[in-house]
Amino acid sequence: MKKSYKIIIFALLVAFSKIASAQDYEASLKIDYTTEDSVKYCVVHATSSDTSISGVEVKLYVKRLFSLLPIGDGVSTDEEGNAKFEFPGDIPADLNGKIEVIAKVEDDENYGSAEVHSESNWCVPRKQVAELERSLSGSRENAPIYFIVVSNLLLFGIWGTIIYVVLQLFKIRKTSKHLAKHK
Amino acid sequence: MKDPRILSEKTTYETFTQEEYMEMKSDLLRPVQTIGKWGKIWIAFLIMVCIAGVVAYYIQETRSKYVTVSLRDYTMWGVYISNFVFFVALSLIGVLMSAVLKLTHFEWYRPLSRIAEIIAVSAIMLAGVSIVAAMGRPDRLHYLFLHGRIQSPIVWDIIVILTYITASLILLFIPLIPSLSTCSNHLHNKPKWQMRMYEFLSLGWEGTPEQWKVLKKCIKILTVLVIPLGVSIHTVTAWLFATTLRSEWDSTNFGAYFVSGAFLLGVAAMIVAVFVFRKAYKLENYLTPMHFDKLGQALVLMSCIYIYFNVNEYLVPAYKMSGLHANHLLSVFIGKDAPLYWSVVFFGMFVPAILPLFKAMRKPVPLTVIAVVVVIAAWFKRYLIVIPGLAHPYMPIQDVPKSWMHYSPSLVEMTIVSATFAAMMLIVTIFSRFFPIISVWEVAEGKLEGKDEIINYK
Repeated sequence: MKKSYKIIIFALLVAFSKIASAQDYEASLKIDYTTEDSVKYCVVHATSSDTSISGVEVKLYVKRLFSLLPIGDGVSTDEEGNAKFEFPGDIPADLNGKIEVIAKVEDDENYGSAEVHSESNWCVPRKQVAELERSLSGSRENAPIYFIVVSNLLLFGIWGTIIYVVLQLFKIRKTSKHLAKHK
Repeated sequence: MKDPRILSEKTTYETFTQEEYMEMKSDLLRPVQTIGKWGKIWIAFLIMVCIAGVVAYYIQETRSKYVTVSLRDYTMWGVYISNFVFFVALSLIGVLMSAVLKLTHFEWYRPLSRIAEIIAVSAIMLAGVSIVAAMGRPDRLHYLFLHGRIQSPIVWDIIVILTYITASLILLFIPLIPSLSTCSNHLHNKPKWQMRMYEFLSLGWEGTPEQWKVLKKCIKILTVLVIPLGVSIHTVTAWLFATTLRSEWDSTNFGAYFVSGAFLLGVAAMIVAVFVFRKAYKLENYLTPMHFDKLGQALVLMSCIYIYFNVNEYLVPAYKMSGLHANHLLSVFIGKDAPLYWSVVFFGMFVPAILPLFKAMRKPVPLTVIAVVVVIAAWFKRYLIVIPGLAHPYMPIQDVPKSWMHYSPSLVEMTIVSATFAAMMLIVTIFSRFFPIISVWEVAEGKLEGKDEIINYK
């Protein structure tokens, strides 16, 4: 019985020391962008107390409208503390014309969690509304020309006829006044 | 001292038997001259129903719509939209009963044209009201004009409704001008404002040849214009459905199907209106059994055309029974909507197609009973077009709330729908109390030209 108590106390101490040790170190991340042979790479450098840390899994994301888009799988930092990601060149830009890149260390047993945000131009610029193709499913500004022409012709034709008829009615009134003058 | 225009007006009809003409005038002006006790009770009743509708709308807009109306994610278009389609269909009455008959020289149109036109105008107005009642955010109505896309059928619908209202109002007004002069000259003991209104609206009508020429020309232009407009308005309404991604509305037949249904409804509504005006305003000399006979024949023709389009609309998809469309078809053929569907087919199509083939059924009373049945069936037909199919969406959701699966209109919705009907009848009633519901000059002109077909059976 006494032996089992000792084991439990030992286990608790070990667990506590693990937690204590995880809180002792804080990781900080930095994102660099490099291009090698026209391939774009995003390098995340992980340090702790100005010392590069290795063997920490880093994940890379790009912020989208509703959630984070993962860029590949997680990569462990090498001896120099670098995790290298091949960066896709076809990510559409956000509303500001750029993308927000986020690197994260998530629940590492030694360094806990850390993240860094960085802005990048490595994205496909947003098409201006005016540059979009004209189509029936397009926006108000992108209605097909033939559609605008035909609908306006119809509208002006019909409303023109209505206005003509109304103007004719004034003729009735005018002729009446004319008669009144001669009476 | 007599108004000089009375004298000039008399000379216009110098070849007409004066006595007969004056009698006709007094007959047709009688409903405007006096309103009886029952007339007042009827108007008061309609106003009360309208007020109930306004209160219901206030409740709908000020409390949670999840509580006040039964519309949910599945059935997002409910009884308001089916009511809208019904009113748009009804508004085509003006096209058929006034414009088409006029242009094709069916002389018996003359006493009917104004009745048809005022029903058309009021129906299209209430179609607009129904749409606003259906809107989740009516305060954003103006966004349609500010941000609407010309490619969207909703925008076409707004454009064509506004155009049709305008054209119909003018077409109602122009033939009224000589009648307004008649009212101004012959009505007495009426409030000053009313007499001034006649004076103002008659545009100084004197019945000179020049004025007649302008008047006839305007009527002709608008009569021609209103036919494509009327057909467009209901075709566009059909396209609102057909261009929406719902399996049961995927149809190239929808425009013609809607227009043919509208013509059937138009004839039936005309029969009811003619019967009511004939009895209530004692117009038996002008709205004669001949009109019922002709309208009965028209009812048979329109029913046959509508049956043809229904066969196209239901038989071909039923033969294929493909995918989600099958859910809808099985629901209306043998499912929970089957009793309503087959009742509508029987009462709304086969009864009007067969019974008026017998001459005895084209007498005023039996034909009116048939017409009332057709009008009721026509309303439910629109209900069946809009609602049952919505219960079978393309992307069903798991654990969907029960209230999404079944739709039955709430008390608030039904009160508002009742109010739209009351408002429509109120507009027609009030109009007929201020203006002659049968165009005096058009009937007189027809008689003058020896076209006895106007009121006598030949």
